[in-house]
Amino acid sequence: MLRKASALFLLLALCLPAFGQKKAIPLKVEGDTVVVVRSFPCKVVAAPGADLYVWRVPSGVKASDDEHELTITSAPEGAHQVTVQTVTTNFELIDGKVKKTVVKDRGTIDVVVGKLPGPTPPGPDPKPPGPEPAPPEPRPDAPFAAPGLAVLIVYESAELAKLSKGQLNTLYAKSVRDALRADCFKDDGNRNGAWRLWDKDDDPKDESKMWRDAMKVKRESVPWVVISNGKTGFSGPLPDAPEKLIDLVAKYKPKGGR
Amino acid sequence: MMDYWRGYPVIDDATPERDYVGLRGPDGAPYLRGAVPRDYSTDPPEMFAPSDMPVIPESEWDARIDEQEQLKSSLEHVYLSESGDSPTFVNLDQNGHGYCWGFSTGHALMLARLKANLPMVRLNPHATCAIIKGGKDEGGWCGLSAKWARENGYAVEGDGPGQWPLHSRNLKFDTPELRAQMKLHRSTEEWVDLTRNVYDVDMSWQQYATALLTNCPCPSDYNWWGHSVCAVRFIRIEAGSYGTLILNSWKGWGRHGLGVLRGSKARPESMLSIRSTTPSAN
Repeated sequence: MLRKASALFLLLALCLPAFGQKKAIPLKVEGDTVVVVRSFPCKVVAAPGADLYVWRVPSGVKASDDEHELTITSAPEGAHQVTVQTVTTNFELIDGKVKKTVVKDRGTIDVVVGKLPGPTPPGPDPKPPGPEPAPPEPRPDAPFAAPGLAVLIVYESAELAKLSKGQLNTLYAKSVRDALRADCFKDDGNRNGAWRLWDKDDDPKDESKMWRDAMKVKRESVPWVVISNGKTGFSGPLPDAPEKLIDLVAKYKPKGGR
Repeated sequence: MMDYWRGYPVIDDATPERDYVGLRGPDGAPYLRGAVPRDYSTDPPEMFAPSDMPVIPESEWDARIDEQEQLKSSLEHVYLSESGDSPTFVNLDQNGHGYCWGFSTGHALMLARLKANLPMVRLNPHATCAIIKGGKDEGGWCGLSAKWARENGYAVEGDGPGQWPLHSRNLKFDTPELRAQMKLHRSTEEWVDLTRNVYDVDMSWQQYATALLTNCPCPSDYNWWGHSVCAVRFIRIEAGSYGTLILNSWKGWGRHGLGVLRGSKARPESMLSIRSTTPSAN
């Protein structure tokens, strides 16, 4: 019996899969995401191998770079865009002549500095069970994600002379510019208020993710206005009078702030 | 004696040359120029595509100018939109090199960014002109700098990596980092070569007025002045008499760098209009 058991054990041992040392598998999250930084220092790492790395950070962010790594030592709370531009020079010998090619690349990442809720520590007097919390208020989709009120106006600059006087006035009236400056949220990249006035063919690849997303909102015609406060918003033809646009934007001002 | 319109110096057909040539700034430095007439043998009409732009007829000019005044919606008002009608940036200073032909485009790019409410950056046209001219202090025309603005972009003024120091012509600053930063400040939409219709001067004047009435800044060269400046606004000086408000690249000149050209002096020989610039965060 013991011999049979030993043989069976030996057979099972041979059949059992060999478990080696676990290794970490790099993962990435795809979709509408941001990177959240909870403490400093933190590092932004680009792919190594380029000849030159030029890092750019917004004012207020303190950082030092070492080739393909940027170490951020402090930054105010909020969203910050970090960019890197790289230059790689290659030399090839072709038909006895040296040919030089220069490759330039660019990378952008949005980093949010803030606090995340941690696990609730066990206390000596845990809360007694109470009634079920109310479900969160349903949120209609905002045209694009924004930390406050943001407005994008899109037009065709080649057709400005064809706009109605009302539309042209709405684009440039001081009352509109003042209202947007006062009501739209402000941060490092939007010091005069988060609003933009762009030609429909402009490519905002060097702007923040928020503006890149705003420009992607579907338009049926131009001039067009897209408004978001992060919870809700508007997307439609530009009103044909300055006061109409001001009233429209005012509807989406977050209560109690920007 | 210089005439003034709303606090701006006026240059017209009656202004003696000594009031616009050979002047010096408040610091005693001479005001330089540098525009040279376009050489069609090297810069032929085919250099730019023909301008095909809808125009605002002259019959509408007065009403549109009046609306701009009422709503404070002209590019002049956008430029002077800080408190107390102060400028949003101090006008660029070309002195002492004859690089006006690069500064007119530089001002146009900054005004285009301002109009779009993009973050303010102070551009440095010295980089463009020095690179084009191999470091030499040489004249040019606004089309040269505009072509560079479209293909390469403009540098930011400063002493940091990827920036170009103020008034430098040293090509050692032309680095890959500089070129990467320049790309963030390119013109992306223009009406170019508004003088293409060389046999139809009236159409050119209408195109020029249209660009300015729709707040598109215009780098403009004037042979009578040997100078290039950025036209900011089309204005009515008095009934039936129109002119342009220009932004000069002379430190301390005019009111916030602005002045008025009137009569035949208001009509440039070479001009184009920058409608939009690269949307960049910095």
